Amino acid sequence: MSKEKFARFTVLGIALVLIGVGVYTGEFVSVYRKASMICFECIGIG
Amino acid sequence: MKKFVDKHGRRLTQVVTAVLYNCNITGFAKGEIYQGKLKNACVPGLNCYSCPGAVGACPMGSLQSALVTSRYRFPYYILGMLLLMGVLLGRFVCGFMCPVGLVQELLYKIPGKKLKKSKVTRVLSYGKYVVLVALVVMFPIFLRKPGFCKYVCPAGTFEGGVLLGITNTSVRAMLGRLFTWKMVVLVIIVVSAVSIYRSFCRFICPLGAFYSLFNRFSFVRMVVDESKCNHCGACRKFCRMDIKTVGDRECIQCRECKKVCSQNAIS
Repeated sequence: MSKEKFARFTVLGIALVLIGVGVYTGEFVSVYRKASMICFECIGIG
Repeated sequence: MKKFVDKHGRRLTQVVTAVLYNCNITGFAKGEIYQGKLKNACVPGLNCYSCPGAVGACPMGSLQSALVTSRYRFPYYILGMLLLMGVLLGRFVCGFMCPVGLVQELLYKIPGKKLKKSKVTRVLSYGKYVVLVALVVMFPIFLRKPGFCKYVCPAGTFEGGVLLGITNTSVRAMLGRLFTWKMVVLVIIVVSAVSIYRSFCRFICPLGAFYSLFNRFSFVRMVVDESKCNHCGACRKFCRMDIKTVGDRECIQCRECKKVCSQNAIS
């Protein structure tokens, strides 16, 4: 297996594990919570 | 048909992606943002989640928001999302799937004096890594604020501040000094994009900086067939980004260089 291929599949594996952990612990809810409310910092209110 | 796809395929993909990211049409009319379940996931490109049309979360905004509270919880989910998009697509996202990139390319079409790439722009291209580390990572961790969103992000200023401010009176009433600062930054970015090709992407964008780390080995990437390449350098000269070789960290995988490769070595 080439170095590139190894890196590709390793990062893919890590990404899927991290997403899995995030879903399992309910962390994705905080992404939703932030995204579903008006972000005052983003629009320049503070 | 093939000719049309070759000529307009990338632009079409950029437009369709921008529309898909912002397809909550009623939000523009009502001055409200979408609150459906799609916002559990991030879109690949830079698109403010406070845009009235946005149906997905912004990857940079979500990362900074997660880092603000990272003392209590490691941001597994958003980091996983970013790694997934990075390793699948690399900077293909910049070339095909980012509304901010699309707008800058359209601005560059305005006639006028154009500043070509040089050693200076190559050095400036490291600026986006500074923004990524300083404003997206360190600022939220140590100062508990999303530095990039708050002080720089042009997507937030325009899509959130301007578009939401037009229709939402309470938001409009709250816009003050910080918004003025963000508008100044936005105007600088817009003006520079008229004479410098994708200036924000090349020098500032932290999302592009993050994806560039995967550009050499991502599933979707540009590859040069060394057995065919005669090292004429036509691809590098033709490219408007600060690349040294096709497919390196600065390559946005736009595929434009394929048109000038006499050896058909690029795929």
